[in-house]
Amino acid sequence: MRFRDRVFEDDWEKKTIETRTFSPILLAHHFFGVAAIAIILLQSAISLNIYVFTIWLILGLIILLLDLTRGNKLTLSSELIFGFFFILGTALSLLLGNFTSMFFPDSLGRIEITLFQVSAGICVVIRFILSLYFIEFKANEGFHIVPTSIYSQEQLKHYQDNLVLTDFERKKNDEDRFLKKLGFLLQRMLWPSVILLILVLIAIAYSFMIYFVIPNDSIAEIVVRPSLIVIAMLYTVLLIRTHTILPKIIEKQKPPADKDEETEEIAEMVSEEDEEIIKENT
Amino acid sequence: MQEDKHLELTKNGKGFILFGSLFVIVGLAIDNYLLIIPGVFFLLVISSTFANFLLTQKAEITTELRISKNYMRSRGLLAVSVKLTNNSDKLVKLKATLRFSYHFQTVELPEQVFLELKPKENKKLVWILIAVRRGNAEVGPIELDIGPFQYLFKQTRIKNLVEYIKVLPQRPRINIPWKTKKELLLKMVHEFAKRVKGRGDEFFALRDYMPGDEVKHIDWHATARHDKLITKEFEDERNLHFLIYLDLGSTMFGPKFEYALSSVVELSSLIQGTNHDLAVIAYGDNVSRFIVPQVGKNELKLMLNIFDVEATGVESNFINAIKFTKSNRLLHSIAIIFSDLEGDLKNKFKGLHLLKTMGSRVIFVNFSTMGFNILASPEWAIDQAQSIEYKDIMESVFPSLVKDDYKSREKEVRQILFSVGGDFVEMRGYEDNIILSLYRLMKKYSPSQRLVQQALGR
Repeated sequence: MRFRDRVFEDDWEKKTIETRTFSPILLAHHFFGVAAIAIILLQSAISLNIYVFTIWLILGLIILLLDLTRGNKLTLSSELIFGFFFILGTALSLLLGNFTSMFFPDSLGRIEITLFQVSAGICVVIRFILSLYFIEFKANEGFHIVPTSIYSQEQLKHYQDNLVLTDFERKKNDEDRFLKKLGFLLQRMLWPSVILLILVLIAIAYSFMIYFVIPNDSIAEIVVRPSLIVIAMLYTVLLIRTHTILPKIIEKQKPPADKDEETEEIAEMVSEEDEEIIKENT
Repeated sequence: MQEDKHLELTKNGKGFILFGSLFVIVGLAIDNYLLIIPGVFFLLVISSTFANFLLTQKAEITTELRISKNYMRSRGLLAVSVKLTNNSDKLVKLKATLRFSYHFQTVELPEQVFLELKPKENKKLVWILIAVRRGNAEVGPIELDIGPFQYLFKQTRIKNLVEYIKVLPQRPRINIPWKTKKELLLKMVHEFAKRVKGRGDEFFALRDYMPGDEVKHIDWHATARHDKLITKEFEDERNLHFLIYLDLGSTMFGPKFEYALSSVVELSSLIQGTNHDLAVIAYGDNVSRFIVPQVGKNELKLMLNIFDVEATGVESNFINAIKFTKSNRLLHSIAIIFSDLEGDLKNKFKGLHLLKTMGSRVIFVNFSTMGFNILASPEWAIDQAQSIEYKDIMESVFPSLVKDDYKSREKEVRQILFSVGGDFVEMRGYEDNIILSLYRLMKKYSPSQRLVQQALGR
């Protein structure tokens, strides 16, 4: 809105309501991003793979610089760009480093590799969780107008005083504190996190099983993994279709609304008239 | 109460799903948990939003919307209360957003409020809005965003509750003492009122007695002196007829027009409290409104009438307003014209001499474009106005605003007004006040000032 009345601008000022406790979340967010790449770098250093090491070093620097230059503006799309870098890094290190698998060098065992992978993955997940929190907090920010001159301050004060004991009496909203909000979000994320943990444990167990029990398991290679891939694909399609299907399901659940009496009467009238017209014609 | 349910998987949400599946599939293909774990997390987050939707879709939330008044002044404050009731058995976390038209802005509380409603609980939110523009405003509807991760999966309920409110022009900031107002009117009466004989109290003249004259008015001293019956004549009650012409033409818009409108309101509310007559003629291409405040009606009624006037955007035609005046026989009046110096001056003053023939006195009030920030009007928002200098924009919008041209225009208008015996009053920006500038004008007519003028030979 364009409003440039001089008097008005002297009296009132447009301000953003800033939410506190941004910087700890941001710092932790950056830290976990760096940590994930540091783990990969460590692994590639131990396994003496120079290609993988340089690729991830460059990518890590790019991600760190992007994080630092972005400052306070943390959006979901920027996080998706971070995810894209991970896929890019993996693809590049597969091509240049080791075309069978970047995480199967000779100098490291299967267990160590799995541990490295899982810990890096968890770092990435924590980073995503933090960015989701951050965006949720950012939504609390909003614009409002604040009185600046004595005239407007008194105007507002008198008005609010006059509203006391009416329907428009303004009590302070018991806005959620930081910890309460965090608690609520954690509560929301509890079950997904638990499921995630269980999945991770199963995955680790699976890899242990491959290493100890069936070192060259053809069933796992031919049946289990492809079927998992197909399930993931199907689930994706299901999720994308859900938002179009859900409203239809809800509409179907609703009982059909009763027809109004007026519309029925009008319909009867119309049908009678039609009959008369038909009679006249015949 | 109608309710719209809005359900949408946003772009971000779709991106989340696609990235998740890409991570999972690539991770499984190359046996890499670094990709599988974030991928599964992505899919879980989006699934949890769907689950949350299924859980809360039957939660019924009723809302009530009330506003504290039905009409108000611009720059005034308005309280809006919204009562939210949770009728379900589940705890609902939501974001309530109050929508309103561009006439308002919120004070000290943002438009959206996050709150938590326990089962069978109700909460009341009170917003205080400040009116920043005049016009027919509306407050509502209310949007309720339920559940977390709204940027992934939008679940909104729009409560179609709308309250309508009239925002009147701004209350004048300068408080002019009543004494000044009274003095202004007295001076105007003294200068402009025609001395007409009638049934007043004040003495007008002596004349011979005619049959039918009242006996009590016979001046016995004069009768004795002249040896014939002589009666006294009295002056009629000296009330003025004010005619306010408000230009609604293409050059009057934005804050300038708003200020002209509020000046009309101020002047007419001053006149209305007295025994003087008043009529407001708002004219564009034709006379679009003729307002005569009725006796006994309060100021508010008058204001509500004037407030409905909107600038037409067509080039104004003064001659039509004059024709209207003539056909309605609004003679012997004080015509105060609220206009500016832009546009075609010939059209603007086409019928001015007719006012003189109708026995009216003319006062032209110029709302100088230089004094008001014309760019405040949204219609005149020019692209990249921030980077261009203000002077250049003014020249591109109004070529006549080059200072020399403006001065020559003013001179021309002064000459026209001189030929009809009118006066020129200038309003320079927001600090100026119509009553004070008229007061300044009337000082020119004070006896001492007149002697000075005569001595100077003007």
